[in-house]
Formats: sequence, C-alpha cells, structure tokens
Amino acid sequence: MKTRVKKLREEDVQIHMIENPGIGDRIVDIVVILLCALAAFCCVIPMWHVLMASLSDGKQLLAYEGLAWLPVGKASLDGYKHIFKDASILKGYANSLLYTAGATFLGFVISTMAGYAMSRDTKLKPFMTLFCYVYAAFWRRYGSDIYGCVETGVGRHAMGADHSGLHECNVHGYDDECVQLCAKGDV
Amino acid sequence: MRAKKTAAVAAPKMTWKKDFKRNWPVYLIFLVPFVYIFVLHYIPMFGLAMAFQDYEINKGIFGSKWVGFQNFITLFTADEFPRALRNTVCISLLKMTIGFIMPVIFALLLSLLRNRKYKRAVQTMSYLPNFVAAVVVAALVTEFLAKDGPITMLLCRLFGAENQNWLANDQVPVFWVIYLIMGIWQGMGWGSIMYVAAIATVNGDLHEAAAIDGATRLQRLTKITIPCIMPTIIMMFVMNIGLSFASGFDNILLLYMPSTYNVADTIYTYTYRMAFTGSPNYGLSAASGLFQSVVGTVLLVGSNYMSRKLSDSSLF
Repeated sequence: MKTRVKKLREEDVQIHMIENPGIGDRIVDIVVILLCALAAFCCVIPMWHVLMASLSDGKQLLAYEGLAWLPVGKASLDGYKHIFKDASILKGYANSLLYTAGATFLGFVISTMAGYAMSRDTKLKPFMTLFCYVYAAFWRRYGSDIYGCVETGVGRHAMGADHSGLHECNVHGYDDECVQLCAKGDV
Repeated sequence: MRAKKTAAVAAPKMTWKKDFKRNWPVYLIFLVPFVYIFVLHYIPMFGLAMAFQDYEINKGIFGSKWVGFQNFITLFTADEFPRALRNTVCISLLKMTIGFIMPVIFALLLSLLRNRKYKRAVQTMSYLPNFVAAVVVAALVTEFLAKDGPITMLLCRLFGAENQNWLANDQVPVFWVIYLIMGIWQGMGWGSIMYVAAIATVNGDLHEAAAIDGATRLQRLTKITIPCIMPTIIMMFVMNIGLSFASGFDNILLLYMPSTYNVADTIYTYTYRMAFTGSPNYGLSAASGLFQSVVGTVLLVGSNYMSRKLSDSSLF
C-alpha cells in the first residue's frame, strides 16, 4: 500500500480518490475506454488518410478504393516537392500567416480593451455592453462570436474564477482569443 | 455574460460628472474599440437599405430606386423560399438536439476515464478537427463520401448500402445527416471543453461521500455529476436555440450542389447565391439576409430571456 501511495502524484490524489473497483466498475471502465478510443480514432483517421495519401503514388491512388492505411504504391515525397516548386503556394502560405498574426494581434488588443472597459463599474457600462452585443448580434459572424463568449464566460463562471475582465473581453468574440482563453483557463 | 448577483452590487449612485471624473481612463480605453466597431461594423449596417431598394451597382445606395417591401414580397413568394426555410428549420433542429448533446456525452465519458494520460491523449486528439479549416474538412467529406470513398465502402460492406456518391443523394435525411456529422466531427471535442471544465468543478467530497455510501460510478454519474453541471447545460442549450438558426451554415456552401438544392438549400445559402452568383439580385439577397438576421435576433433575445429565467445567468 505504501508504494502505491508514493507512486501517485499530488494532483492525482486531489482529484481521484483511491478506489477498489468491483467487476461492474471494471466493465464500465472498459466500455468507456473503448468508446473514447473510438471517438479519438474517428477524429484522427481522416487526417491519417490525408497524410498517407500525400505520401502515395498519385496514379495508383486515383484507382485506389477505401481508406489509405499506408501509402498506396511506393511511398515518396514527390507531391511535396511539387508544391514547393510552385511559388504561389508558398506565397499564399506567407499571406495566411500574415493575416492570422495580424488578425490575432488586432483582435487581442481590441477585445482586451473593450473587455477591460466593460468589466469596470461605470455609468456607461450598460451602453458599452449593448454596443458590443448589438454588433455581435447583427453582424455576420455573430454566431460564433456570442457562442465563444458564452463558452468562455460560463467556463470561467463554472471554474469559480469570476474575472469578469477576462470573460467579457470575448464580447467581440474574436474566435482566436476565445480559443486561447478557453485553452488557458479551462483545459 | 453577467450573473444577476453582480448586477445587484452596482456602484453607488453617482452623477455623470463624478462618474466621468473618476472613470475617464476607462472611457478613453473604450474609445478605441468603439471607433473600430463603429466604423467597421455599424456603418456598413446601412447597407441593409438595399433590402428596400431596386439596387443597381452603378447607381449605388443613394441613386437606386426605393421599392418598399417589394423585395420581401418577391422573397416570400419565390419557389425556393419554402424549401430553404424548411431546410433551415430542420437542420437547425438537428444541430440543436443531436449536435448539442454529443459534446455533453463526450465530456461525461471523459469524466469516467481513470487514466489521466489516456484522458489527455483522447482530449487532444478530439480537439484536432477543430483546427482543420472548413474547406479542408469539406474536401475530406467529399472524398470520403465519393463513390469509392472509405465511408461509402464501409456502408456498402457493412450494411449493403448502394454504392453511390452520398453527397449527390437528394433523399430527405441524407444530406442533413452528413452535414450534422460533419459539424459534430469538427466541434465535438472542442465543444466538450467547457463541460469538462464544469465537471472538474464538481466537489470531490460529494463523490467521495457517495462512494463510501456504496454508490456505483454510474449512480454517481447520474446523481452527482449530471445534476451539478445541469445549469451549464441548460444555459448552453438555451443559447444554442438562438444561435443555431442564425449561424453555422457556411459549410453547406462547400458541400451542396445544384442537384441537391431541394434538401441542402438554406436561407443562408440562398442569400449568398442571390448576391454572388449568376445574375445578382442584391435587393433580394439583402432582404433574405435581413429576414434571417431578424429571426435569429428574435430567437437569441428570447432564448436569452429564457436563460435568465431558467439558469439565472444570461448574455445581456
């Protein structure tokens, strides 16, 4: 028993109590593990397919049916050589990096500012909140915006750390920010 | 999101002058986002005037003829409209129910895992699809459901389904199910994050006490975990009602084709088609976009109200 306790890290002890599961529990465990494995498998396998297809021999791949578990035909990096020859692809990639970095930065700065302003108890607070929400509600990306906001907000609420500044700054819902905040706070 | 409690503990009464004297730095900070949102998002809203005009590009908003509600009459009497409305409603309902419940179930499954390393691995893998661009996902779906695609083959071998291009199938639930599953695949792991967070906050003492009293894990799941995260679930669900009608139809643009318009065409895609393809009719497109926005906003405000009543927390 002593060795077992030693093996557990502190965080494990805090979250999981030490149990001695019975047969029913074992069965539940196995079913849950299998279901989770299935879910993870479904999430990853299409990407695996793409990876393998990218390494495959193009002509044979066209004739191939079903899922590519392994490279079809002789594995080669020809496809990659081909795209890196094409300058426009590299250029496009550089552009998307630029857009992403720019949008993330701008979104971060602006939503943090708005979030801070709205987190304070000021007389204009209702106006500021309304201003941002109406925009979020009417504009084209409103769905993901508010959703992200609720997600982060509730997450934070649920975590018991009611840092209104943090969750309100997602009012604009720059998805990236929500994502980051979610990732930082809730995972 | 604000809980009612914080609203109740508002600052003591202050005159505008005092308030401004004290809070001017806050307002100064807000000025930047204010200008940004106003210029880039409020001013373009006047483009909605197009919905009431016979809009012509060379004349612009100020030169085009005003036609009142003519565009809306055309819209509601068009052949495509009832079809688009039906598809929008059905797809929204599917997203609202099945699409909503999957992340919850997934989070509950994760909470039952004992091995932390395994749990983390599963979680990480389930987040991956969220980072794949929608266009790429659509390309994957197209490939997997093509005539010799992996899923088609699987269905063919397992259930003896006809070997076909599933995306071209215009039977009623096929496209909806494809779209729903695509959405679930993309969002399940990511959507489960907040439920996982909510589950993590459930007091461990409750579990311990229940375990000592002899509750099995399944009992603890249904009697402790689920009731504890119920407020979160309700809140998310109510918000979903408002949002699912108004958003997330972008993927359809990537998946549908003229032969499946009768099951795949939604108000969103109809708006898009009217504005950007063939012979554009901007007035009609703006009218249809406005219609969706208004219905979406009504649902959103309504569901927000319900959320305030049910779970004591709301967006605004």
